[in-house]
Amino acid sequence: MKSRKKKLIVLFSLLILSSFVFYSCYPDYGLTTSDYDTVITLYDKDANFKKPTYAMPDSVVHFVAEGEEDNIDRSKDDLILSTIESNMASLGYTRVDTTAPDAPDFVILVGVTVSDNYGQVYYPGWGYWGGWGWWGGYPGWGYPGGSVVYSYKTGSIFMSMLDPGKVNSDNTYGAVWLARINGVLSSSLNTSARITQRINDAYKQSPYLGAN
Amino acid sequence: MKWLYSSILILIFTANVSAQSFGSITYNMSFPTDNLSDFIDKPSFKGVGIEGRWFQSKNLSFGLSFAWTVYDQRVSDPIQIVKDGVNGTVSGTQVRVVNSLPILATAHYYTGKRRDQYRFYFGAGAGMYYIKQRLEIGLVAFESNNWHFGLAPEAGVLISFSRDPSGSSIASGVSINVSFPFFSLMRLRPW
Repeated sequence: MKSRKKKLIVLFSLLILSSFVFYSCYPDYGLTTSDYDTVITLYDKDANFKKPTYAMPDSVVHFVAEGEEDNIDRSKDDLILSTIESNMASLGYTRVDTTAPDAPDFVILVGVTVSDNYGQVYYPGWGYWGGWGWWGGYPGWGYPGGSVVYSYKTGSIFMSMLDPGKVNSDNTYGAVWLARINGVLSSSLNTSARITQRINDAYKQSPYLGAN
Repeated sequence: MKWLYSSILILIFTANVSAQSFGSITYNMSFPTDNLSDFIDKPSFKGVGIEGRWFQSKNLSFGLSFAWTVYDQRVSDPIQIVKDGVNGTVSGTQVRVVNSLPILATAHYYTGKRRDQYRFYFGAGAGMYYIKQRLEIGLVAFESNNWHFGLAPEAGVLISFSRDPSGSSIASGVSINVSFPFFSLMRLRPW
């Protein structure tokens, strides 16, 4: 076989392999906004969750920095509270009024916060071509590198389950269960469905909860 | 000694073989085992390699090889946290990626004669593996990049085609390689 033919085979192999390599570098996992949702739950492994009552204020706390105005949308607050209530009911807990004379076994506090996030993507420039010297005059050309700034909003829902029977050394109630739901806020219509789903997920991944 | 990670690679290669040397380009398919399969259990069809071998006799060669294999998987399994008295769970879509880049010195023994069309061989590689591991969950990513010593026993067959008068030929073949870099992946459970 002529060496030229061999070289062609090797070059052809390299071409196929290099296209494969570049494809491998940038896999597309088909992620959508809801794929960036995370649910974190933490619990006190010594806590006794088998107690029947809990109280939950009718409002959601909006965490905003000191001196800043609360611009967080309140339209989802009722949904958050009702989803928590239905999960607690299905686990056998009974909601009692926060003003009831007997202290509840647990208190659930709910808060939300919204953050602005910024990022920057840099892209390389093309090398500046030095022009064709002998021709003179032709300046050459290049393409400068640069960057694009992007931003997105994330929202978090915090659920804290406190045990009034467990008092910390600083006179605060001890949390026996914490859940944090984090996700990218979008203008799409599925925000309510995502909130419901993720709160349900928080309970689903906490099998130790339950009054019975 | 515990093998902390291993994978079985099937290499399909095209090579230029002469009496003195052997140069090949490989396409690698990898099947994770051990701890790697706890992190990513999906076979990888994203692997390439280049290798040079120099014959010391008709049956023995020494060489160098370099490869790049990408293991990746999208998973939704919850991660259990047990750390410093804190128990919990993190759930969300995860993207798990491991890039494995071994640079190995190799030695191989070949059966038969130099001009045989089929030559079986076995051997091994020893060297360093650059392992880049990444876990993305939500908007957070964890990454670890490390060099690890590793071994890679290998067995295969070399099939020569259309030999030219000088004795060199274009060859193809298949080999099975078991890679054993010694390293621990991020300790996340359940794997």
